[in-house]
This record gives sequence, structure tokens and C-alpha cells, in this order.
Amino acid sequence: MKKFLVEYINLIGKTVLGLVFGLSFFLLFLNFYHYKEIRTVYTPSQENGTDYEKLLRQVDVIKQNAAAYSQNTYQGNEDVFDMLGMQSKLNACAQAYENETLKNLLSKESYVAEDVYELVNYYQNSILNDCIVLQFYSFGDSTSTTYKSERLRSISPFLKVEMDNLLNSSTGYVKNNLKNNDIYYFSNEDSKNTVFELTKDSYQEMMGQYKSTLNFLETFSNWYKNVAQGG
Amino acid sequence: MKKILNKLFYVLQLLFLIIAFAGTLYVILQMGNRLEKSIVDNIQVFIPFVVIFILHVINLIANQKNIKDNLFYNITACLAFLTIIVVAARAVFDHNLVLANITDYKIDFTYFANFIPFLNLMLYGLAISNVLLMFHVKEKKKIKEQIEEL
Repeated sequence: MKKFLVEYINLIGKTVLGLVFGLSFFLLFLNFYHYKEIRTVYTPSQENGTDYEKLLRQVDVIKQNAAAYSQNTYQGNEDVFDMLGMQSKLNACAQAYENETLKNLLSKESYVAEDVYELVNYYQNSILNDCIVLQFYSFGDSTSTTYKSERLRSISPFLKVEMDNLLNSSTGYVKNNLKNNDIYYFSNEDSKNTVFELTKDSYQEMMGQYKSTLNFLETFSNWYKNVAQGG
Repeated sequence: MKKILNKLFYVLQLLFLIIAFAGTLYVILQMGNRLEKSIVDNIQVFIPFVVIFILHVINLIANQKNIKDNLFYNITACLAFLTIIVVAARAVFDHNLVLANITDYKIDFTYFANFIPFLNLMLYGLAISNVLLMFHVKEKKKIKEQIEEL
């Protein structure tokens, strides 16, 4: 009986040992895989210039449109202070895109997860908060008394929809996903290549957001130029 | 050959145990610094290490050949401690973990904290199997040893 019990206890001991072996083996190799996975480097296509150069072309258009208004030559009916206010807001947003920090971030040849995280941070702080919310969001309120322009009031509902779309974009999701890159997840080469690649997908999503905001600003600047030229 | 492997893994597991303990201690101390907590608040992380240390001492004093000469136990212990070392090293040195770059400590505490339950599981598992493998039939072993000596 004693011998049987001892052998039984030994068997349980070996089973526990086997389970520990399996767990540690699994965790060790999962760690190596995870290490390999998160050190992926993404190199964007440099066709027709870098992504930053493409953005700057649009920024130049915005600056030229903003410069269409001159207080000395303007002959339209719009309030002078409204026109000057819109001009300075457009220029402030253009400066956010010409900032040295963004230039350094977007002039890299290849990106790791940390770089894309910095891109998300810059977008949220300098583009969404400082440009869209602080500069432009009041234009979306048709009942606002901060401006007198009736033409601006007529387009404010459309501006509000566009700005709300930008503010409700997926940047928060991208940021959280990047922050959570320290959590193991089960994936294989196929899913990595076809479904999800953290650095590449996050970078492309962020470039999409930068372009969407620029498109909004460019559309607004075109409208502004039209008003400034008396159209 | 088996004896040489046994000796090698036995020495390795002792070495890995010390490094794993040092790595864990470093990360937990930094974690405590950041949260302004004393090491006493995180003492539960070190209990399984202490248990393993005590069991090692018992194995040495009582000359538990059933454990010391168990190749599978030694390999498993090596693997478990190596996993702890790899995780501690990644938490400190792997800067592709985005959270590591956000704090000034440059250590990914979340990554290590997520691993603590697995660390407990592995170390307590090793301790339990160590205790259970201590029981053995002496007569049978003596006969085996005599055969080996012959």
C-alpha cells in the first residue's frame, strides 16, 4: 500500500513537472516570437517623393489660398476681422504641418512602433487639439457670435460634420493598440502578412488621418480664397 | 553521458535561478520606486523564489538524489528560470515595447506585471513537483544503485 502511494505521489509530481515544462517552453518561445514580431520595421514607398513632401505640397496650396486676402485690396462685403481671423487660423494650421518635429518624424526612411506612436501623439496634440479644436471648431457653430460673416454661417453645419468626423477618427484606437504591443497575442505568419501588421497598419492609418485633416483645411482654404476674391 | 548532462543542467539551473531572482528583484524595485512603494508591498513576488531556495538547501542537506539526479527536473527548472530571465531582460532592454519608452524608467512594467502570474505558476509548480518527487521507495533505489555499481 505504501509503495503504491509513493509511486502515485511520484506520478503526480512528474505530471506537475511536465505541465511546468510545457508552460515554460511555450512562454519562452512565445516571447521569442513576440520579440521578432514587434521589432518589424516598415519602410514606406518613396515614389513621387516622401510622404512629408506630399503633405507639404498641400500645405503650400493652403498658404497660397490664405494669402489671397489682402486688407488693402479687398472689395467684398465680409467683415474684415472675420477674414483676418480665418487667414490667421489657416496659417496657424499650416505652421503645425511645417513644424520641425513633424518634419523629423516624417522624414525617416523606415519606422518602428515607437516612431508611429510619436506620430499619433503629434497628430492628437498639434493637429487635432491645437488646429481643429482651438482654431476651427467655433466655425462649426452657426449660433456663434464670435464671427459675423453670413457666408461662413451658411457653411458652418457642413464644417461641423467634417470636424466631428476628424475628431471621432480612430487615432485613439491606433494609440492604444501601439501601447498594448507588450501583450502577447496568438498569431501566425499568415495573419501577420495578410490581416494585421502593427507598425505598417498604424503608420498608414495615421498618414490617412494627416491627409484627411489637410483635405479639410484645403477645402476650407479654397472657399476662403473664393470669398477673398469676391466670388 | 546522462550524468554529465545532469551535472551540467544542475549547475545551470542554480546559475539561472540566481540571475532570474536578480532580474526580478531589479524590475520590482524599479516598479516600487515609480509607485513610491516599499519592497514589502511586493514581497509576494519573491515568496516562490524563497521556497525554491529552501528546497534547494533541503535537497543538498538531505542529499535528495531523486531530485538532483533527475534530468527532466533539471531541464524543466533551467527552462523556467531562463524564461524569467528572458522576460526580465526584455522588460528592461527591448525598446520596441512602446510602453517602455513612455516612462523615464525605460522599463516596461506592464509587460513584466503581466508575466508575474506565469512566474508564480512555474515556480510553485517546480516547488510542488520537487516536494512530491522527494518521496521514493528506498529499497528499490538501493537495488538499482547496487546494479549500477556492479
